[in-house]
Amino acid sequence: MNIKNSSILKSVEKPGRYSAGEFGQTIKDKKDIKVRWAFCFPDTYEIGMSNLGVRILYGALNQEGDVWCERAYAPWTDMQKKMRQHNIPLCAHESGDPLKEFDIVGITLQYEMCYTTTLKMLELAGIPLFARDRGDDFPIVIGGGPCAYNAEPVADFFDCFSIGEGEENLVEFTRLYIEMKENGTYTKRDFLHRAAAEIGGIYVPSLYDVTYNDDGTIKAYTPVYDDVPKRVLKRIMTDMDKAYFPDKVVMPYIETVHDRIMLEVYRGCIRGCRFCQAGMVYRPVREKTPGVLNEQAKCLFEATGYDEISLSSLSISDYSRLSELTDNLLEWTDENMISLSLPSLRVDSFTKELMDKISTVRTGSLTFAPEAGSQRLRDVINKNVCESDLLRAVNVGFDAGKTSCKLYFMMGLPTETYEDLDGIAELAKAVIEAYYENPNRQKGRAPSVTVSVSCFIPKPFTPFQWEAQDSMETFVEKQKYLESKITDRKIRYVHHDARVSHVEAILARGDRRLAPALALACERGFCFDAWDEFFHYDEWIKVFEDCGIDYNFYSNRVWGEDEVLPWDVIDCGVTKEFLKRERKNAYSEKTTPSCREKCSGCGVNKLGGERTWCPKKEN
Amino acid sequence: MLEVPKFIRFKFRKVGNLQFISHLDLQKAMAKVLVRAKAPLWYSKGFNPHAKLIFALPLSVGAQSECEYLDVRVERAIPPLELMEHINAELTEELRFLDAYYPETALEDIYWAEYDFSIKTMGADEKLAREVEKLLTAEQVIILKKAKDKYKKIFFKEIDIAPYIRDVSVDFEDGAIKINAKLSASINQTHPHINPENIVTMLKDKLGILSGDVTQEQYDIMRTRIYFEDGVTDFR
Ligand code: SF4
Repeated sequence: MNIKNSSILKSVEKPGRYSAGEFGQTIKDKKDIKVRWAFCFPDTYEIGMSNLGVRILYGALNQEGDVWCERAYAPWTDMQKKMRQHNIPLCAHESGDPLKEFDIVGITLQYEMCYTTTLKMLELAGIPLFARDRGDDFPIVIGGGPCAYNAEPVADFFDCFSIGEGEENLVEFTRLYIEMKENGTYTKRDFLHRAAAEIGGIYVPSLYDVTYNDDGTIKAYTPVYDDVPKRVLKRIMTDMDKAYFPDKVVMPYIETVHDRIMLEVYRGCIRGCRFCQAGMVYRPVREKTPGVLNEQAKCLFEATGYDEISLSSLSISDYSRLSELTDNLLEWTDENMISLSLPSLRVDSFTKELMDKISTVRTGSLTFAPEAGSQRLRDVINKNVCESDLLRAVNVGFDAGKTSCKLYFMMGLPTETYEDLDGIAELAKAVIEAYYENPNRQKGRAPSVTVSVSCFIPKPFTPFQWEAQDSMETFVEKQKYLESKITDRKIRYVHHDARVSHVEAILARGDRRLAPALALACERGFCFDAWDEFFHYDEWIKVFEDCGIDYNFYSNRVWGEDEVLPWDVIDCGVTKEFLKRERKNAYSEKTTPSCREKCSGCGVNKLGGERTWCPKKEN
Repeated sequence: MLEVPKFIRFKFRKVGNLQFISHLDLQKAMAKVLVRAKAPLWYSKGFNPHAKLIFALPLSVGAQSECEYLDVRVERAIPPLELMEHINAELTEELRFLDAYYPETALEDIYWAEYDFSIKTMGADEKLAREVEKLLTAEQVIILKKAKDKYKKIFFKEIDIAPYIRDVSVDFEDGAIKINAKLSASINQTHPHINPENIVTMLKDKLGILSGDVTQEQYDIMRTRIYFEDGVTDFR
């Protein structure tokens, strides 16, 4: 947000978060503008500025001559205090105009723990939290991002959601808004109705009646108009080579989380890990071609001057033309002092060749995610890697002089036993042993292995969406157990806070009945729950209790496969039958091949897509 | 063969919103700007090559300037003003390069910096302006300066800056106290460097100004010129 009052800026931490004026920001003349958009990121400026999705949508909307899209971020708590003290409402970053005066306020929901910050931003903007309390004079509030796949806990606060990739449907949405304003037919209700009926991937919660069974499960979602889809199908960009690409970048003046070029190589994932929501909802894989990527990378370099290009995608080593792409890039990046980085690597793709090409792999630490300790459990979750892959990969690193390695695991996965936990400790030990057996290791240096264990959260649209999360007691017990198994001082054990994962699990599968709890949380001052220092478990539990919500109903219950799910109103392309099949495979410890090896018929091919592995859709 | 001049010196402005960007952030941002402008930067050899940028007088957050100086090491000769044009194409009005040349002096030759202060405070009037003037032109001008002891602990020490402040004028104009003064400035501590913020802090402490409603009261600091040791010849 942009505050012109210099005294206030002089009195807060990191005023550069609010002062704006970045090179590359979009400023337009208000008299040419028919719609003003405020694109909000419910976290700090430093985090929001690093989000690739926001960057793309900001550019896509501003391509429209009569639309001005600005940004807004959550002010830090010190600034919030000043704003309340002096009655300053939340304002847009570029113009400094209050959000309340905008036509459309878009909020991206990247993680469940940002819900409280989302509400705080509405409150600071002076926009009533509940959509039903907002008349035609208030902005339309539209949500999007990964959490929109089950946005039911926050559905009452939004007028609508954009489901899937928003490059096209947000523009269509905006054009419809302009059309109805211009021909005088605009009312909020009629606009939302037409948007839901005419534009693909627009979900308007208020156009569905929800009924419940006596046992608390959902009975039905019923559209209130005949022309509103029973299930809202997500939107995708079918041809990524032709998809809108932002060649202009807003350059932050202060340090942000990712000060580097983020080159989106492809969307989707071929793997199908059974706990992973991104792996399901971003299907199908759609690759860009190396030629296009190389040009885009050059363009981003000229626009930013960054000295690092990060090849970003869910599992970058699965890109079918990675070698060609890196060769193309290396032709000009080296002489321009640019290094290449890869955010994630699978153990089966970690090779000497890759290590030589990718400087951050060369200089950074070795990081792998086996996710589970035993082969059995890795088969259950469909993480198709085995111990020998891991040991081969760490040896490539040790050969090159590395001495430390970080391993990521998940605890509380379906069917997990204490033997599987033993497997985590044993795997870490095996890595230490591999180090000492490696003749090329750095002599005289001791190895170190960090074992980082997070807690399993059952997520919508995954084969594990029906599973129960472990109880808090079980998590704590398991964490203690694992700690006792790790005795080697060369192994460092860290684990996630199970209490955060518990609340996340409640929100992830929540329904509309959680809205009063979130409103109460906002009233009680919750904000920045994604930040450890602001997360207070006991207060969350108290909020749920005060609202009479049986929170474990959402997190710790095995859901029935024939139950109506809160997110059944959304169609992410992957069928429920496929998810059920995958769940069965999990229980029989059967792995499923990647999409590149063999199509498993998840159903998403009905959406089409270029440079994908999917069979062409049948008409 | 012509010898390649090592550095190009730039003068630039950092005003408005950009006053809230810290020196460290500015350094990083500037490096990217120079890359975008395709400046022929010289890079250090070795494992982690980096360009060489030397900023003259770091400005504290919340102070603006019309005369920042930056020396950039280049690897081949290039007309400085041409490069400056490319750089300005990568910048906004609030951060703009104003001059560029091959320097014949050292940044160490900087001795004085001139500032405009504008203080909007409750009860500002001609009388207050005179009080301010009296304080700044007294025989002793004591300010509290932040320092670190040998354990890196921060403490405040009193210093008399009377010898390091000159050509003070104070006016009451448009409801604000306007101060113009030259303060000792140094890039390498061969002589004291006085942070203009210290002056405001002293006035706050001694006169109780700027203690009211922050939406009504505010102060601005603008560095306007840099001088050699004589305090009258513009640095170049
Ligand atoms: S349709 Fe087949 S190939 Fe395509 S994403 Fe689904 S399983 Fe993979």
